[in-house]
Amino acid sequence: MIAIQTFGLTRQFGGFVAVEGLDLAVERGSFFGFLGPNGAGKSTTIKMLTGLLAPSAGGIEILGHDLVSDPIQVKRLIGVVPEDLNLFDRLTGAEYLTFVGRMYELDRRVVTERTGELLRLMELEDKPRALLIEYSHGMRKKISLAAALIHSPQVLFLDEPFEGVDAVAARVIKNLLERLRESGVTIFLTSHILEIVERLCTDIAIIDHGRLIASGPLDELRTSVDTTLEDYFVRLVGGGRRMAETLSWIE
Amino acid sequence: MSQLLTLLWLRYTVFKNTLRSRREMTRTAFNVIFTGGYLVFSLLAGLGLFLAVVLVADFRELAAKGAMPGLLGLLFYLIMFTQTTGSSAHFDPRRFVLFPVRLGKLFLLNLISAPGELVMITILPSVAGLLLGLGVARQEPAAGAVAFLTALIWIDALFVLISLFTAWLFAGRRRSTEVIVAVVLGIFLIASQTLPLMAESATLRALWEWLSPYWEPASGAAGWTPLGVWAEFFGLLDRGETRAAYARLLAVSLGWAGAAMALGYAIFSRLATRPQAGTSHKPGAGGAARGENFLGLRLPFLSEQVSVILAKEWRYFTRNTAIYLNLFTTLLITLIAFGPSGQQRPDLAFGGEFSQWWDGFRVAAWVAYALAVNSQHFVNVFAFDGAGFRHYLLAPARWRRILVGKNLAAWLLLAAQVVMILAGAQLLYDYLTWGKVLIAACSMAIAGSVYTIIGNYLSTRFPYRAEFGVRVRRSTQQFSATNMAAVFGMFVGTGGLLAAPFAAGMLLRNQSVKYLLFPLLGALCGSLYVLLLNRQSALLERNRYLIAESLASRDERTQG
Repeated sequence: MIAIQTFGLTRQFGGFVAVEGLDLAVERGSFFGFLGPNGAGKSTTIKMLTGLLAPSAGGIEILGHDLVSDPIQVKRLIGVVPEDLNLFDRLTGAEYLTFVGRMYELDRRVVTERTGELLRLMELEDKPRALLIEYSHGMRKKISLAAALIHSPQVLFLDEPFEGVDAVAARVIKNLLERLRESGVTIFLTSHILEIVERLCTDIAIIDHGRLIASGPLDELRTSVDTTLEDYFVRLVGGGRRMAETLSWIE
Repeated sequence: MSQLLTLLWLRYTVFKNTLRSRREMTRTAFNVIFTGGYLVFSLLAGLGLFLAVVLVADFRELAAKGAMPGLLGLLFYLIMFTQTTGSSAHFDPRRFVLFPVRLGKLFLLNLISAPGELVMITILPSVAGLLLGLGVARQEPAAGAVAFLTALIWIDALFVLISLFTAWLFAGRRRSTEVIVAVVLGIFLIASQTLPLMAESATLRALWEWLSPYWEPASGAAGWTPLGVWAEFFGLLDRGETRAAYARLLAVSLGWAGAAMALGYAIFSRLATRPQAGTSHKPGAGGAARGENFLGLRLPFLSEQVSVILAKEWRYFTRNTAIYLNLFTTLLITLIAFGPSGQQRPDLAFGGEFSQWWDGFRVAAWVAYALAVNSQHFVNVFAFDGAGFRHYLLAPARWRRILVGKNLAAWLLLAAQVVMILAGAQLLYDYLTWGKVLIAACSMAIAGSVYTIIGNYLSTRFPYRAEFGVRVRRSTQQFSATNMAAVFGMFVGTGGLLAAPFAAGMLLRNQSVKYLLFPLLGALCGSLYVLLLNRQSALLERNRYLIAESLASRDERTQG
């Protein structure tokens, strides 16, 4: 079954086309890595897939529900960790998770239990009175992930979840994501850290200048090109030329 | 010099870039019209003062002796008001710490640009009118011009110092300190309003008499302060001591201005490396993760989502220093005005038969005042959500519920203030009757509905980001003159609506008319809100991306 499907997804900002005619199909239960160089259109795509940005053209279906005609149902099914975290800065961690849980209309007892559990798992329980504005960048990433998980979503969108996260926290998150995938959750991940993508993802797609230039199961890709994901990625997005260049004032 | 030019270029470019979108152009046009109107009004006031000083001998004498301290008191009040509502534009030193630019240059630019601030536009024409008028009237225009220039330098330095001091107080403080700061600011803020009201009280008269032996030496010392040096300057000129007059004026006013600048610069330097503005708390001592908190409460008669939005908003209110400041000042001002000395004032209590028909008007007026003070929570309901607004995009909640939750929270804030005012008036002065309670409740329904309906429209069409304790920068995070003009219009409009039942009762010589019209108007306005709710929710849904974009910080905006 397809978890995420797009049809000719396009987004323009004035005259600039950020994403052009994107056709994606992500299998349910897969760990999907969505890659691309800076400015390729990854974040724009993920924002459109999650309803944070309106597409200029094209359609989106999540678990068979159309995002435009059935947005409430789609929102119940997905969890999102956006690159630009959407936190209410003047709430404490527990208050924030409670807010999110109750916005998803979870039972109060369930919210309380899950909030405590998530705070413990993310090691955020030591500063119960600290407001989110006082959290470090890594802590903000972790609380954002906790908020995305509190309602037990079936599809999880993660935009650069490992950026600014220390090694210990990154390990915790990786293990958690692997367990989620084993339990059947579909995970859609963007990351610049290709080692993590190589370790976690089952499928990948590469986007450049708003267009899809490669996609498929990671194992197939590995056997067909017989190289590392990094080399393949750099070759595909034309990074080889730039790597040879240097600055005129550096001898 | 090139760095100074670069900074000026930066200010111009940032301003120019804000005009790229039609919405920003509309907003800027409103700002220009509003500020231009304000400038014209201030210039007319200054011209009036100038003519009064030149043509009226008694006024001239008054101006030479005592008007300056009064004007500076007004300036101080206005500066404080601006700091709490947030409309000043300054270079934030934190943005330039990494560049090889001296902080002194940024500070200098802030000093130079300060006369363009709304507060300064208000005060400077009046000061100019007084001092230039005094010079012209004495046929010594040069003396007036020098007095004005020194006044300008001193006021400029004082303005920047107070702005920076307030920013420093708000930056990186603990919540308890923020509340204390708010209370202290509140005391300063209300002083200029409450003292005239209390002037006739026995306590103040006794205090005045007790202090009388000290007045003479105190007034002598005042001649060595920027508040009194201008009176001293013209006094010395009258006595023919020209050289001493100029020496004293320059030494005193420039000395104080220099001290203010030095102190201001010291604060400016500290601000450059301060942590991000916000409340800091000591971490709790260990403590297990507890999921339970205030936001988990389910409120009766409300859906789960409306309940939690309301609870979240209330959490935000309790963590916003400006709310405490508003609450404190509103309470104190209204309670003093309700008091016996206030009631004796003919303009407040009205006299004779008139007061019989307008009995209870003061209750309605203070409801309108409380609303105006809290208007920002009605006309820009998502302001403090920032990036958190995206949660409303992600959550499986209808926009109608989100809007209702927000509106209810603002209403609750208003109701809390009104209840406190009325309870205080009753406890202190035994002021209330059932009729006045009815008027208060209906006034809340009438004025609250009007503010909510217009406010919802403004919140969805002209949203802008606001941060706790951080002043809104005019060029980037627009403090909207659109909203300010609308608030003014709503204040006047609701004033008319609230006065209508009293006027009708008086015209028809029947008190029952008043008590019938109030509930009727309340029901009408409330119904109008309910009728428009779906349409306003649809507008909110249509503009959701625009709002998310407007509330995101510069680093969070989506392009490409």
